[in-house]
Amino acid sequence: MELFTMIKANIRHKKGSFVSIILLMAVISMALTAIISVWDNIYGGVIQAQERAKTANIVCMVNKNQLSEKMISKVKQHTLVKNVKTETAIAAKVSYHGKGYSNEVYMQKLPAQYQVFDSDGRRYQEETPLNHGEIYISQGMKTNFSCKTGDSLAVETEAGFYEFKIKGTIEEPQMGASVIGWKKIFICKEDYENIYGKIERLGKQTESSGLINMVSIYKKDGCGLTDGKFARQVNLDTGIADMGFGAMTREMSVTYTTLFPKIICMILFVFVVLLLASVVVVLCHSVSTGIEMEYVTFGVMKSQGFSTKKIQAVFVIQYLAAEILGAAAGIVAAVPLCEELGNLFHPITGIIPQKAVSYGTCGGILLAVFVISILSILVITRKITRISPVRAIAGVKKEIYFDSRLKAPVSKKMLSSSLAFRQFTSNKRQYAGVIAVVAILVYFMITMMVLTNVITATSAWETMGISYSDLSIELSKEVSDAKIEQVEESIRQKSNFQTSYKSCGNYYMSINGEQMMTCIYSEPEFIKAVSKGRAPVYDNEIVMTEIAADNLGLKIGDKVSVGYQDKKETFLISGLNQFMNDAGVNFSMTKSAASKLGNTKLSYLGYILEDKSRGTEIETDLNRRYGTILTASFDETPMDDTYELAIHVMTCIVYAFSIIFAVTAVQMVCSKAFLKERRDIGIYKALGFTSGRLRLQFAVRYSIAAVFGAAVGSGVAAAFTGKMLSFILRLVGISSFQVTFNFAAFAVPVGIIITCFYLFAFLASRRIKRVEVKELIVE
Amino acid sequence: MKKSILSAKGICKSFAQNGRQVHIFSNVDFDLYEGDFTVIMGASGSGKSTLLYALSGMDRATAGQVQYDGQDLVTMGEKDLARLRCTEFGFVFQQMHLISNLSLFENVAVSGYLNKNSTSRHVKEHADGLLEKVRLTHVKNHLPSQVSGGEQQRCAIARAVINTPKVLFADEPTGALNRQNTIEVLNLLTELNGNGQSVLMVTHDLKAALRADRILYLEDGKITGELSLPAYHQQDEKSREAQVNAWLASLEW
Repeated sequence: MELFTMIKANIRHKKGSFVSIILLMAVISMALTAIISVWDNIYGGVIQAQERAKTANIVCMVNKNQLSEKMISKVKQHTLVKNVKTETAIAAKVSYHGKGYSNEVYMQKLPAQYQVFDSDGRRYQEETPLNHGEIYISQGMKTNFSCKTGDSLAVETEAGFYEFKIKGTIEEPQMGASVIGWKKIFICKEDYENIYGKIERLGKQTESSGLINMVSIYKKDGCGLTDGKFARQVNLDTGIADMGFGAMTREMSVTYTTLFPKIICMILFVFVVLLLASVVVVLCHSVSTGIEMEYVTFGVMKSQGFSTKKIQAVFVIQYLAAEILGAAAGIVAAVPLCEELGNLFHPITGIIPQKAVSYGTCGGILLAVFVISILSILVITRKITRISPVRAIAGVKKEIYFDSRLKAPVSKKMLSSSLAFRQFTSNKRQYAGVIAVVAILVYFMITMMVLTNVITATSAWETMGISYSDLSIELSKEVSDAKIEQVEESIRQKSNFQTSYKSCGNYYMSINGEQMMTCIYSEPEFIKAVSKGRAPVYDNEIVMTEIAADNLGLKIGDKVSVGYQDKKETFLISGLNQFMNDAGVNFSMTKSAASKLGNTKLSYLGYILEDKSRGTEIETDLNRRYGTILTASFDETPMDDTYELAIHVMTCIVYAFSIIFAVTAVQMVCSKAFLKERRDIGIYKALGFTSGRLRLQFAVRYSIAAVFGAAVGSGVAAAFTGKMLSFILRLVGISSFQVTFNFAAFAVPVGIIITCFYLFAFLASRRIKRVEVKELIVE
Repeated sequence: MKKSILSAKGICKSFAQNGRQVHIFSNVDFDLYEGDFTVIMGASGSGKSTLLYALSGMDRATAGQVQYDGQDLVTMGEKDLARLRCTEFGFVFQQMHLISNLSLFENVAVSGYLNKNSTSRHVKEHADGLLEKVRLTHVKNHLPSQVSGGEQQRCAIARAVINTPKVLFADEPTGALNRQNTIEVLNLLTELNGNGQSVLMVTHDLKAALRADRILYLEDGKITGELSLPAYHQQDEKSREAQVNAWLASLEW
């Protein structure tokens, strides 16, 4: 009962601290719950969609003419295989408003069961069968093209050009995410059979063009292998993947579909976890200041028979109650957020996320925070043991010497600032919490600035192995070097340019039995971001990404067997590079090396124009003059708006949370400091200091703490941002993230946070006005 | 004829407590004369410190006027009051109230720095001079927590006079000191007054009150007695003490 009475009185007396802890915990647990739930919902949504669509463990794309019944039965008889299904598809090239889709597209007839999204992509609508001339596309394609229902889509097949009206988007969990290059499109049975028949009659069939068989291979129940290992084993034993021109496992599909949300959620999760740590820091600061201020009260309590343990229990219960209340409020507030934020990723994932709240995981993390808080409070409140009732009541505190090596003279010039600095240096411990909080906030704000700069600055893409170009040319036929020279001369007449790449395209080849994306370039210099070793100069060399090499346990100098359809060759690994395609699991070779495997056709050219204002004109001119051999497209901003939006939303979330956190933390720390310094404020007023000057002094002091915190945060960011982002971005295939800091990356976050601390401290100090000198009266 | 430098007319101080008006003092008329050492005495709770704070502009009277240099302290704005506290008035508290993170020198100088009419150099020289006068030069770089109560109070007096105020207010300046330190502080105040400094001091210590030229007696918020005395050095302490004791006895002290 006595504990309850004390706790009630404390809460009533220290409403400010109590409310601040509730608010901080509410904001952070809301963010934590939202982030974890969004991730779980997206992942769960993808798995659910895969199950609904009965996606196979492996899907191999094989040219219709190359797939034999013998091969199918060989696969069916494999000990690990449960079932094999074969579907036909038509290889197509798709363009929207003249902009071509850069990857393979497989046109199929609409399956018997499908899920159509409504216009917002938030829920499913009733199944509507397709009519003649209508097409369903996946959400990923809609995102990549920025097209809408009712628009026309041009589809080129071996049987000629067709124009389809987009009827809507359907759930396609296998290749439907915008990050996956391959895409499926669906037309009605009649249209499909008509085109299929025409191609069949024409008999045109080269590698991945024409008619395709999509072989779906299902793993036996109880097979303990991962999809990747299962695919490798089946391929080694049957050669099904080598025969085709591409294969994808269900695990790969899930990984790629959830890749972008995973990165966003991971970064925000780390941020929120560190904010949770900051809450514990602020809480400890509050407890510590509380003990100093209530020194006499504790003496009195001890004199009345309260043991140190009981006083500690009062602290623990009151702060824990605030944390639990805040966490509960945050979880409740997160419920509507979970659905909204999950939908934000729909344009990228192409699935509708689940709408659950991850109470278990969030509860577990919050429970850990509560335990850490309890332990921290118990450690800090140990000093209550040293309070003697007699000494406390007599006002005999332990002598405090405000001496510091940082002591700067108090001068007439800049009197407020010099006094503020003195107050800061003479009680550094009081500001340690503020410094820690600012350091965490600044670190994350800088990290977000760096990430945004790198991702949105095309100049930095090269370090990640991405070949940026604004003028892209796709060659439809094999053309001579002289013809390419002629095309380039036509461009040069209008604008100078820099050649970004000349590529034969991306293929799926097996490397030591494992299917992997292979990027083929005309010359070694187009293979970017070789971080170790060197680019493949000779025709028996390849480079592979660090992630791919790690996965296969390979290193520079190792020999590997590369297979493509019925050919196999041995190559030497000459270097390691980074390239984001297929989440960084790929290898690259030159055209001369690929010719050993029968692949020599130059397909894609990329240029960076000097005079971008003439880009559209060049595009039109090239398509007019060389339309029979190429398709040119000019796009100055090749980065998808959705990604940019998502990254900017993430940056805004980090900044908004930082500011909310700064306001609450400053309010809380300042309130405590204000109570502690009430007497000094009275003295200063008695000496003739005005409230305005004292508020300025107060605000400057917190700005000084913020400057120190910002310096720590900037230092930590300079040392660890690259490492942290590399760790997270390894998921997308960037194994070595080269951080390039510019002045703004530091200046903007530091400027914002110091200004916030100054302003909020100044606002929090308004109570100085209410301190009157008469409070110093001893009557 | 003595010249009044601070004049209070009909000042009152009251506050509401549990729905009831409590009067600390009411209708007090008071004049402080230039160069005088005036002491206000009274029993504990008589309102003498509150009166001192109202007269010095540290607190506002509920009613009445406190005139200083043609201005009413009761209606004066915060900025003007702050300027007055800095340049015209000096204040010595019973509990010293030095700023704990400033050295003794800085505690004295900081008020000087605040005065727009002084240069930094002048403040430093003056602060050094005052610390020498109060015999604190050897500990001038010490923090308040590193010196004795008497030294702290001497420092507080030096701080109060750094801007050469017209009036020096002292609220029980010896209340927290031992006998030796009490004498030192009182000697200092007497010396300052001897040099023309007007002093208004609140005390219930008879020894301290003996230093005054004029003693006012406050009882239940009203001035009920006044005693004028010759200058401190013009009368021997024993006969002065007897005179004051007799006067206090007549007031049932």
